Amino acid sequence: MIKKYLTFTVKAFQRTLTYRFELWMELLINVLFMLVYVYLWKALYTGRTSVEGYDLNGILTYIVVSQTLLTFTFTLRIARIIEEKVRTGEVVTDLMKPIDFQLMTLATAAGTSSHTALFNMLPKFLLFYGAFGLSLPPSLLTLSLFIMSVVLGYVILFSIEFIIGIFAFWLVEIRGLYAFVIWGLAMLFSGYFLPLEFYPTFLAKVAAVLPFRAIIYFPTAIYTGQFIGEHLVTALLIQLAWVGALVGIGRLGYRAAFRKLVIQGG
Amino acid sequence: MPIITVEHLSKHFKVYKRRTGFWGNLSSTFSREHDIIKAVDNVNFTLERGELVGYIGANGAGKSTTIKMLTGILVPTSGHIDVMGLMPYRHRKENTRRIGVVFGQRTQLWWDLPVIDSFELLKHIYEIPQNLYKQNLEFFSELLQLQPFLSTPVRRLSLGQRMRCDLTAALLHNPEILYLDEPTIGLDVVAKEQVRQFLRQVNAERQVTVILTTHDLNDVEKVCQRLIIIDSGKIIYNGAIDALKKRYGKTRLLIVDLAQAYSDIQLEGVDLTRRDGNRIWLAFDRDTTSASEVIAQLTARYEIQDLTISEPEIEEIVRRIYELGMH
Ligand SMILES: Nc1ncnc2c1ncn2[C@@H]1O[C@H](COP(=O)(O)OP(=O)(O)OP(=O)(O)O)[C@@H](O)[C@H]1O
Ligand SMILES: [Mg+2]
Repeated sequence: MIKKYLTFTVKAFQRTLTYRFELWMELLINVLFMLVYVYLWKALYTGRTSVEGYDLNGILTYIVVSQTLLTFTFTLRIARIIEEKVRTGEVVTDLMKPIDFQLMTLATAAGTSSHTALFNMLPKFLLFYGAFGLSLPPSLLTLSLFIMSVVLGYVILFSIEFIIGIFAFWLVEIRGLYAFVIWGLAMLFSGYFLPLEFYPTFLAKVAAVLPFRAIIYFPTAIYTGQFIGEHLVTALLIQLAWVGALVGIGRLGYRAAFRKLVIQGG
Repeated sequence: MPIITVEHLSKHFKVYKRRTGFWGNLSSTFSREHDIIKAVDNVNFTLERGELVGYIGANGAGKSTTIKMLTGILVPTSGHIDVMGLMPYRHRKENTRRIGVVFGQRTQLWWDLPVIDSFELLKHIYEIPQNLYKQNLEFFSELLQLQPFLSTPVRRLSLGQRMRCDLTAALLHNPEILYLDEPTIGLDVVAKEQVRQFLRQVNAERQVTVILTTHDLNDVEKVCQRLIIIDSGKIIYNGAIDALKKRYGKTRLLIVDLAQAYSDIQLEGVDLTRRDGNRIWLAFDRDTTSASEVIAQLTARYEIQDLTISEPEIEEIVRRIYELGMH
C-alpha cells in the first residue's frame, strides 16, 4: 500500500536527475539572491545589537534558513502540474487506475522535493552556514522538531497548491489565482522576507489567521530557538490542524472535480 | 452469463450556449440556455467472455462515450451497465483492477520516464506479484519486440512503438476485458498488422474479452468476430460480419466512367449511390438483376468510356450504411 506510493516518490526523484542543468542555474540564482539579502541585513544592523529580539547572528540565521525553505515554494509547481493534467486530459488516465489521486500527487511531489532538498537546499545552506558562521539549533531535540515542522509546513504548502490546482477543473486557467496565492499571499505572509515579529500589528494579525506562516516562519523560528516550550508545541499543533484542514479540503475538492468530470465528460 | 451487459444505456450532454462579446458572456452566465446532445441513446448489447467485438460508427457516433461509460470514467444519464457483476462507475477502483484500457489518442505511460519505469510503476499501482510481472513482461516484450526501446523515454517513441508499449501496459495486470478506443489510429500498414495479430493472439491464448473501436474496417474484418455499428447514438447493427456481408453483399457495384456528366440518370432496378464528375457508382441486387442487363441499359442510353464491377467489401457496405442508414 505505502510501497505503491513510494514508487512514485522514487521515480519522481530519478526523473528530476535528468534536468541537471536547469537545477544548477536555479541554485546559482538562489545563492546570489541570498547573498544580497545577507549583505542587506548586515548593513541594516551596523550600529545595532538587537532588533525585536534578534541579534545580527540571529537574523542572519533566520534569513538563511527561511530563504532555504522558501525554495520549496517556488519549485513545487503542483498547481501548474494539475492544471496541465486537466488541460491534456491526463487526469482521465489517472482516474482509470486503482490509485488515490491526492496521495499519488503528494508522493510524486515528495520525490521532486527530496531532490531539491538534497541537491539545492542543503548545499546552499551549508555554504552560507560556513561562510557567515551561523548558529545550529540549540539542541538535537530542537533539530528534530525543526525537521518535523519543515515536513508539516511542506504538506501545508502542497495542500494549498493542490487546492489551487483543483480549480483548473472549473476555470479555464488558474495562472492568476496561482500568482495571487503563491507569489502574493504566501510570499507576504509566510515570513520568508522578515521574521513576522517585524511586521506591523495589523499585518501580523492577518498572518496569524492564515496558514502561510506555518510554511516558513514556524520551522525557522523553531530552528533559531525563538519558539521554545509551550510556544513550540502550540506551533506544531497549529501546523497539524492546518494539515488536517487543508488535506481535507483538497480531498473534498478533488472528489467534486472528479464527480463533475464523470458527469460532464472530459 | 455475459461478461458485459448494457441495457437502455443513454448519455446526454448538456451543452450550454455561449454568446460572444462581453454582454453575451455576461448574459449566458445567468441564463443557462442549453442544447441536449444525445451522444448515446438507448443502447443495448451484451458481450460473452472471450469475444472479440468491433464497435464502429462515423465520427461523433458515440463510440468513445460508450467506452468511457463501460470503463467507469463517465456516469450514464440513464440505463444500466453490468461488467463482471460490477457497476463500473460505482465500483470504479475494483473495476479498474480487472480491465485494461487503451486510448489510441493518448498514452497512459509517463511521458518523461523510460518505458520500463512506467511498467514498474504499473506493477506497484496494480500490485502485480513479481513473478507474474516478470512473466508477462517477457511474454509481451517477445511478442511485440519491445526490447530495443524499453529504456527509451516515452516521449521519444514513434507512434507505433508507443502503441505497442501502451498495449503491454494495459495487459500487465492480466485484465479480463480489454477496451481499445482507436488502437490503430495513425499507424502504418505494418504496425497496424502487428497490432491486429497481437490482439488475435491475446484473445485466443489469454481468453481476454476485447472490444475495440476503429475507423479502419480492415481491423474489424481481420480481427473481430462480431460487429456492432452505432449511428447518432443508436445501435443499427449487431451481429456477425459474415451475416452483414450476406445481407448487404447481395448488392453488386458497377462503377462507370461516362463520356460526359449527364444531369439525369435513370435506370431500372439500379440505385445510383454516388457520383463524382463523370464517374457514377451503381448498385444492384445480384439476385434480381444481372450485370449484363444493367450494362445493356446503360449503353443504350449513355455514352460510356469505362466500367468495372465490384463485389462490395465490408468498407463499401459500411460506407453505405453510414450514409443511408440500414434498410
Ligand atoms: N464532454 C462532452 N460534452 C459535450 N458533448 C460531448 C462530450 N463528449 C462527447 N460529446 C458529443 O457526443 C457525441 C459523441 O461523441 P463521441 O466522442 O462518443 O464520438 P465517437 O463515436 O467516439 O467519434 P470519433 O469517431 O470522432 O471518435 C459527439 O456529438 C460529441 O460532440
Ligand atoms: Mg472517439
